[in-house]
Amino acid sequence: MKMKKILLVLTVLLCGMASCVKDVEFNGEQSDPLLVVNGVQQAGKTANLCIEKSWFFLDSRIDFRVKDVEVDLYVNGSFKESLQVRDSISDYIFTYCEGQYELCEGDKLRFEVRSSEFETAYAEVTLPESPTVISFDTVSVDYENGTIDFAVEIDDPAGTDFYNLCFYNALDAEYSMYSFYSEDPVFANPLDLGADELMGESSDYYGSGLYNLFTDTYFDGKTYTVNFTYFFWDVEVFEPFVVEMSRVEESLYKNKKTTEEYLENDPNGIIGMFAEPVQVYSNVENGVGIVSGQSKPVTMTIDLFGNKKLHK
Amino acid sequence: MFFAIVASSSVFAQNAKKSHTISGYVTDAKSQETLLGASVYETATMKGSVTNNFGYYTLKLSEGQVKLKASFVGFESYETAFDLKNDTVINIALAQSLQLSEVTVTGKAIDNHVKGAQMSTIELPVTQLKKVPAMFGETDVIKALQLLPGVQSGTEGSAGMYVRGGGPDENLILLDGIPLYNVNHAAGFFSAFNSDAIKNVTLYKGNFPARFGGRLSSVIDVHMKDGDMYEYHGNVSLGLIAAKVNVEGPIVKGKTSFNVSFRRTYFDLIAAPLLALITRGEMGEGNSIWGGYYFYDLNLKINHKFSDKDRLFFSLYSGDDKVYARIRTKQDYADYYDLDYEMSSEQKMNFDWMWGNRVAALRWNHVIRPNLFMNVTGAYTQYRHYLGADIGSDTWYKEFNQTYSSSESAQLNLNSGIYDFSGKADFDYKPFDNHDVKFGANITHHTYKPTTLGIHLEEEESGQQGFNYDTVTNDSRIRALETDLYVEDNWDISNYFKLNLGLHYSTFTVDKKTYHSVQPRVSLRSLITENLSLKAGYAYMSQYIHLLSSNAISLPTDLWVPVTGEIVPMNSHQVALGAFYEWNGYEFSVEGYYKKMNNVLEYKDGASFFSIDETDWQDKVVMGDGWAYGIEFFVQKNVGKFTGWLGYTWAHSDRLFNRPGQELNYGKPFPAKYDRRHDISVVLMYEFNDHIDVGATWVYSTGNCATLAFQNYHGLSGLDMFGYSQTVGYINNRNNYRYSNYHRLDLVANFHWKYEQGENIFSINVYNTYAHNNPFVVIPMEGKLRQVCIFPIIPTLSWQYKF
Repeated sequence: MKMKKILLVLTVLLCGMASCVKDVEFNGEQSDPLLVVNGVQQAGKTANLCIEKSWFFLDSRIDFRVKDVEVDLYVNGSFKESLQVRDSISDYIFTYCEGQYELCEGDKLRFEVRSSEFETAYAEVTLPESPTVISFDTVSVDYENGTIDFAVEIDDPAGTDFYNLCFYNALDAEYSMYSFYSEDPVFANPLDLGADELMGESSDYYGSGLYNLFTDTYFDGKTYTVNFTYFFWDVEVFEPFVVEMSRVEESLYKNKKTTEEYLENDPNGIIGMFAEPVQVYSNVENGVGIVSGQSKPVTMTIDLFGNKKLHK
Repeated sequence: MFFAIVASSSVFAQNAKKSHTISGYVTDAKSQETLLGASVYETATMKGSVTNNFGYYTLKLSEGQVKLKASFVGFESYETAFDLKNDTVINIALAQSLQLSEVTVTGKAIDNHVKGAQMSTIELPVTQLKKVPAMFGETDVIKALQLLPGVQSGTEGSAGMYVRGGGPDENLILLDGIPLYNVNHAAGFFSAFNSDAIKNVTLYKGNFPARFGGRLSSVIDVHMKDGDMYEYHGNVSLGLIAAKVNVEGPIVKGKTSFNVSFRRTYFDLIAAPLLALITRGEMGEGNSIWGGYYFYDLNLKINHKFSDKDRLFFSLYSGDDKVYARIRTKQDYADYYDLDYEMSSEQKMNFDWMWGNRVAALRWNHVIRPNLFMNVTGAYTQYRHYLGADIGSDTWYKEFNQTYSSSESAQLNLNSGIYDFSGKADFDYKPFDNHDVKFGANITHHTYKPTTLGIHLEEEESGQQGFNYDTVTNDSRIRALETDLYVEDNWDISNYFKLNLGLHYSTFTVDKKTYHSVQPRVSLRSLITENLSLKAGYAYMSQYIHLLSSNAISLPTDLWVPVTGEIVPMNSHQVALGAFYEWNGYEFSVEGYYKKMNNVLEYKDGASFFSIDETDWQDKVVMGDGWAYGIEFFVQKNVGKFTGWLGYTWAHSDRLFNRPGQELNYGKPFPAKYDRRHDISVVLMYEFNDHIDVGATWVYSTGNCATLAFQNYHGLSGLDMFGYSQTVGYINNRNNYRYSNYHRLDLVANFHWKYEQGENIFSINVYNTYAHNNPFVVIPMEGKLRQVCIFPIIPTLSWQYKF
């Protein structure tokens, strides 16, 4: 009897100790999906938006599609066109909308997105002017290590400006798996500093894809040469690729920066426990996402057989 | 203005009957330990005074027959009658009461609770504190304070304090009048105060007397025991995680005494050899891991009485936490068949991580005149953090009869700290029978040592010096000078009205910039009946230092940094209203408060404590405003067999960061991290007899806030290196989710066996008795919310021997 009592007490204690982790019900307010609107408008091209809806973070069955989407484009205060709506392009499930009007630098665009499921969402963007590029050239090619060093000299006007450098396959613009490296301080992100700096390491930037954004904080109103390196070792070396330099709207920079910070410190993950939450920047009223603008780029196409050209 | 008020009241004094000063110390008759906050009053007029932080009192009474009474919780009252003709010194020695009777301390209870002008203040008797159930059986001052209304705890088990909506860095924690910077051990699960060394704890939540300054939200005034002047006493105790020893006694009987306490955790003493044994067994001879964690506290106080007019005190506190590891690995290799080759390699890694406080203070009490008491203090306080690693390898090999050797070593150390030298003079002055004036000045020289990194790398090849690198980075100091001046008057305007009026002026000079702050303080008491009063108060506070800390837990990497040219001082305005009632040994109070905080700091979105260092901390914080309001109900019973309290707080605490370029939460208000609507604490203690006493604590509070992204969506497409859209979360509001409500029941039973030589006490503590899964953190995982609880139920046995 005594032993039974002891066992009973021990069992109760063990159950208590073992129940340190358990699944709990979500006791917050059930939030409704949001209309998600994304798109970067580029001068010289037509307007385009990707539209879908968000999903509840604990849901496993997800429906992104938004019903009855209509998008109107206003340019400089006047209605210009309704964008053509194309559902489910490529592998994506979002709704893709495209216009016909060729956008110009300095255009003030306003998009109105309507759907039977959501309130009308709005987004506004002004297309920036192209950067003044004094020179844009390769500095050296190192076949042994698989790198090409570039230098682009820009003449920056007074005021805060935002720039983008991107690489993509000249034959397939969607293919953007190119490695990008720079020790240039313009790419340093204040939130990345800390432990690395303490250990004496520099805050080198490793990027890829379509967006490698930087501001003119270090050279506002002056000429400046940005140095960067492209790694071609791991990619198809025989295919030509494109390097683009453009000016972008601040909203894109903010969105990209906060997105990166969010992904580093996801509040719904363990790392997020030890970091301040990040609210990703959005300029979409009554919705979420980013509708931003990009200038006509200054472009250089490279192939490793020596062909290169600079055109604006 | 202030002196005009005091001078005008002197006119009344001169017109009144001639008055004389009665002054002296109130002490424990047995040990001569001074009693702080003891009441001394004239029974006919009920004019009275309370002993100051050194046990000294001053009364100004009209000449003639007086009947003087002194009382203090846990002591028999003392009464004496005499004809007052001159200034008189009466040192009162109170005898300890065998039983805490309700009658014994009535006078004291009325004086401080109902009749004092001060509000938002709670004194916690240490005797009571020791009977409160405690986690791991470790009585903890900070944890006990968390059970009071208006005080919120941080995460489960942590020692973080959030007073009336303020942050954890807004509490001024004083040990014998000297600030302590880091009061946490073991990530905040224990505080730095060893209850055996403590005499008295007072918490000020608002309406701060003018003598305090430098923090916005609270003052925790902790005083160490002076030591018994006549007999040696002590106790030894063993708990689940720590052992403690406390000894006090005379150095010169009746003149000099000491009190010394030491506490150390001993988990590592058991675990480290076991770890070494296991790793040696697993990894083979020559390989081992020796490591562990401990913390210790040392409190020492020496008290010398030169005369009734002069006393000298020396206080010392030293407390450290240390994580250490010694790793040794050895590899031998030989190949005699194909090659004539032998190799032996030894690697070592020593890792030390230490952080802790040192405080040393020398104080001189001098009675200049019976109605003028002076305390002069010189003090040194430091908080330091050290992280060191020593990594090395020695390799020896023989190849074709040639012997080679090489060695590599790397030493790395990180240091940071704060070092303060301060001097201050405080005066208690009773110019007239209805004025108690305190004034003083303080000067503190702060040295903030940012994180300094030292690296030493060395290489040696067969006796030849190879690569050698030695550097120290960021070896700079930030120096700042802080000065404070204050004056306050506790003014008995009439039998019904009492006013505490004060002014605190401070300056802070850093980077050739000087900040000034004039801080008015006022509180008024209106006595409605003998046991009912209404009080109102206002306090303006300024704060010049900030704590860079993670919200989740307290870490040694948490750094105190001063204001700069860009980061301006924080300040707050707080108003409070309250009603105070006393009935048959029960104290009741209800207080409402509103606090506006300006220039409070928060980390920018995304800042992680993994990447915080002092060099660029200003880039990672934003400045904004906050406000907090609430109502606190409190019922307390300090005397009798049955003691305890019940507290309930209804509170709101919000933040707004909408200054250009410093926006958080899209520039909209959001709840503060530890905003909790309801908070209930019930603390009950019952003494059955001399052998058994029991205690229970039940706490309930609204769950903590957390930030979750309730909606997920695809970001701008084609962004990541694989060409996929990245999934990001939409956070509609900071702190938008509440964990489930927190509640737990703690129990303690103490069994006393008294002998002629001493007393044995066995304690059984059960923390979180009904094993409620209180959330420490909630993480979304695989479509579910996973809640982690760190302390489901903790039963503890501890033993104490008192002699």
